[in-house]
Amino acid sequence: MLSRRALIASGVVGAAALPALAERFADLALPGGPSVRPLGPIFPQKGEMIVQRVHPPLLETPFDVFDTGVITPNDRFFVRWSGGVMPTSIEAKAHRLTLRGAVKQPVALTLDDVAGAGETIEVMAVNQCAGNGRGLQELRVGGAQWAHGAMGNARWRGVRLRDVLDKARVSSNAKRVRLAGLDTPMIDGAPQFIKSLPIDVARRDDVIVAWGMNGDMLPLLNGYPLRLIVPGWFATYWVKMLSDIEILDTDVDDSYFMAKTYRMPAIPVAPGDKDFPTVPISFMPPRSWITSHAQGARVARGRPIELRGIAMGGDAGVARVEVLAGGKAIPATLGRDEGTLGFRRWTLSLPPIARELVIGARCTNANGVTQPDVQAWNPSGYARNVVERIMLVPA
Amino acid sequence: MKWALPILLLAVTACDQSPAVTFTDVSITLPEDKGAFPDRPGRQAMIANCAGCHSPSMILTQPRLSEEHWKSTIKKMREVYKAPINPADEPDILAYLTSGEAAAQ
Repeated sequence: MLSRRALIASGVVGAAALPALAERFADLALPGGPSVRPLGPIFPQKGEMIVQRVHPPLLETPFDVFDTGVITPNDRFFVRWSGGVMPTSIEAKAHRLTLRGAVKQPVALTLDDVAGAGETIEVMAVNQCAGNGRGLQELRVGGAQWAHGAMGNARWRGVRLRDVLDKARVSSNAKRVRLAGLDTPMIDGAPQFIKSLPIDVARRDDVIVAWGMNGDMLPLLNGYPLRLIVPGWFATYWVKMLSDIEILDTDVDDSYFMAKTYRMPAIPVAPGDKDFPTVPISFMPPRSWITSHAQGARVARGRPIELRGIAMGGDAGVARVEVLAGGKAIPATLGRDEGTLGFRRWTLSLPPIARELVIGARCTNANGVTQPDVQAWNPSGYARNVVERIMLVPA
Repeated sequence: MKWALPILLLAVTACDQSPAVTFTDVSITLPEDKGAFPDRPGRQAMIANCAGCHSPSMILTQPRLSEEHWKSTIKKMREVYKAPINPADEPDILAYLTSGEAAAQ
């Protein structure tokens, strides 16, 4: 009997072969498997996505979408809801964003109040799950088994968080800003998904409360009606369906998703290590991908290979991208800077190859941080940013 | 093409006035989850204790993980997420979790 993977490789997977799930599948090539995911069912306001989990939704962007441009379309943008209950309807007039805690004037803002709180601005930024690429590491760990598609880049439209905070006249001893959305725990007594930012990050010029995404309103699954945008920081802070802001006058936030999870080792650790110090995950490191060619792509002999890809600088702009090939680091040409903390296109014409060749893309950001050759280990599989490699095969 | 100019002017004016955003009511219906736990020993315990909160795929997509890992996951689900996992079902749950597609590879 043929295995499921063999069926997919042979291209015969369809409704007849696997009637229960979906008509189309993707093989994410995760080391050791299981690797195959359905490309359905289709979710509201979404196109074809890799369905990692239906309930609560975990939808991954198919990798070929990243070759189509630096902007990730709203209907292909990844979706990740934590383990709670997400509302499926929003009544615009009833929605409130409350501000409380260390403030002089607690307020409950309507959506129109929020939109009128300050200048409307647009910020391009990459939204990336802390666990993006978790499933690709050789030494697998538990969690959402993403390939590369738990990320996307969009133009976010909204008002600055600091203008919203000023509506409540934040106390001068404010230390952190804690954010909550409308999603609630599945079972009473479980921790709510709340996250907090240092006040200086919350007041940054480019941290916004957004309602717009790529010229449209946010899809509900991406957080309509309001989502926090924290350019350069992992998506765990980009709270969706934002409904409550609590100003803390202490540096320590002991809520579960700050104090117990979404944490990185503070020192280098190895598998099996225990009781090491940790810090909350925060900003993103640089990354880059080859999007024009897949692993094992066949290329015409005797012809230059037109490579194309995307890069992100993490918490700084992209300074350079190099293609690593045959012991050399060849500088790629960067596309236009459409938004410093967004995706950046790169291209390179590689000389013809006579034999199989492993190549990788390596980004260095404006802070001088370069992607590593070997991924530093952490037990949650967060913050993958190793140089991603593929093999080209002359044909 | 004489009509093009007035339309263009209108569009520019509209931009200058920067119309306020309009928030509308939005309601979606999430698709049904047709995924199921494959039939092998322990399946009933999985349905009774795990499927109430999340899709089977959350478990079925996991790689081969140690029994120690799954024990700590059950503990986390019970203690942090307040899942009412029946202690009597725990051996069946563990057997199921450690005998999956990935575990068999």
